[in-house]
Amino acid sequence: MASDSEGGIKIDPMAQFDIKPFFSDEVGALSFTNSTLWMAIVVLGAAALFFIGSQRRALVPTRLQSVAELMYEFIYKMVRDTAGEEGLKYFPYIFTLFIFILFSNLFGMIPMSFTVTSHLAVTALLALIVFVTVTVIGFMKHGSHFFSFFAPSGTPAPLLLLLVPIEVISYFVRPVTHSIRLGANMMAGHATMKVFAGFLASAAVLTPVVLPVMVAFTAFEVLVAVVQAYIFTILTCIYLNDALHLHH
Amino acid sequence: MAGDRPEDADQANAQRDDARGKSRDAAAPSGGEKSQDADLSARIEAARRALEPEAGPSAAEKYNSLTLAWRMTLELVVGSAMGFGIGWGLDSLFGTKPFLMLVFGLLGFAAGIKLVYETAQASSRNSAMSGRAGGGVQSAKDDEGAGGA
Repeated sequence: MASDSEGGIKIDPMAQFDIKPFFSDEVGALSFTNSTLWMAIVVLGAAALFFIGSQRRALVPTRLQSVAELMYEFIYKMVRDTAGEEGLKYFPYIFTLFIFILFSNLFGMIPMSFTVTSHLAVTALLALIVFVTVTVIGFMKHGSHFFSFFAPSGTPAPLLLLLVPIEVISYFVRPVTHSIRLGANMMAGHATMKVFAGFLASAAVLTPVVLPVMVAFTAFEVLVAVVQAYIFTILTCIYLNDALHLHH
Repeated sequence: MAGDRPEDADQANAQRDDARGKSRDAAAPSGGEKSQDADLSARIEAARRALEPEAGPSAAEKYNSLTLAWRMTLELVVGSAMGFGIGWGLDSLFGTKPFLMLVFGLLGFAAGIKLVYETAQASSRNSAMSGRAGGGVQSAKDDEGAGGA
């Protein structure tokens, strides 16, 4: 981020995404990296908000309690409105997902920090878990009837030969776009911010022009961070709704 | 490229605030009158409905045309790529090199089109609804209704 590049002459907008292990020289399967550290910080931050926020259980909430309650109610409503009453069974999972992504995105806005969700490896795993969970729920609820999801009702048999592959492919496209959308948005935003910061560092003449842009873009990135967490979550709800109610 | 989106968000916020202000105005003067119970309760109901939507669904969807375009492109590209990938895999399995690749590439493209179409449908439903309060929530309810049917 900005403070990284100010001192240096060399500006590398992608350096912020490097995975650096702490206790070893190479990244192995179990090494503790900066990504691991920030994931832990994200989890601790989220846990702290909800533990401290819900501790007093005041009728008139404190600010922290309000924040926690608002988030809870917001996602609760989203799940109920999108996936129906049956979807509420899965509310804890969806809420956890939202909070983790939201905190990762927002903690990534802290200068010198690491954005966990800017890595496709992380977002792809999140999307894959959603994909597998939703598919398993679909099969558990509907059994083999779940396959009718891929065959729009009322289609003549010859056309099914064409439509079923299309439906199946589009079903498998969903986790891919689901993960790329979040990861690419976070990465592109942070890289752009770094490039702008690089302008600031390398050409002081440009400061009056670049600094306002930089400020506006930082605000915009906060917006993107929240919206992308929201989008990932609501898409999860929509996929869950499809599996629960068989859309076609 | 990104400059106009926060502005749109502001507009959306302003509209929402506006709606809240109006509903408060509408509800306040009717508070004292007892003779018009039905009218009053109707107005209270209207005011309550106007206050109902929280920041989130509709606001998020409103300034999201860039996200929408990006999403559609992604769906189309990923769909085609996945089709080609499946075809390529099956080709090398059966030794029918170019044939299945083409077939599944086209199928994947069709799948991409289908997803783009669905995305467009969802977003047009949203924007049609956002004239009234709570576009996102409303359309989500529509989805649910269609799913249940």
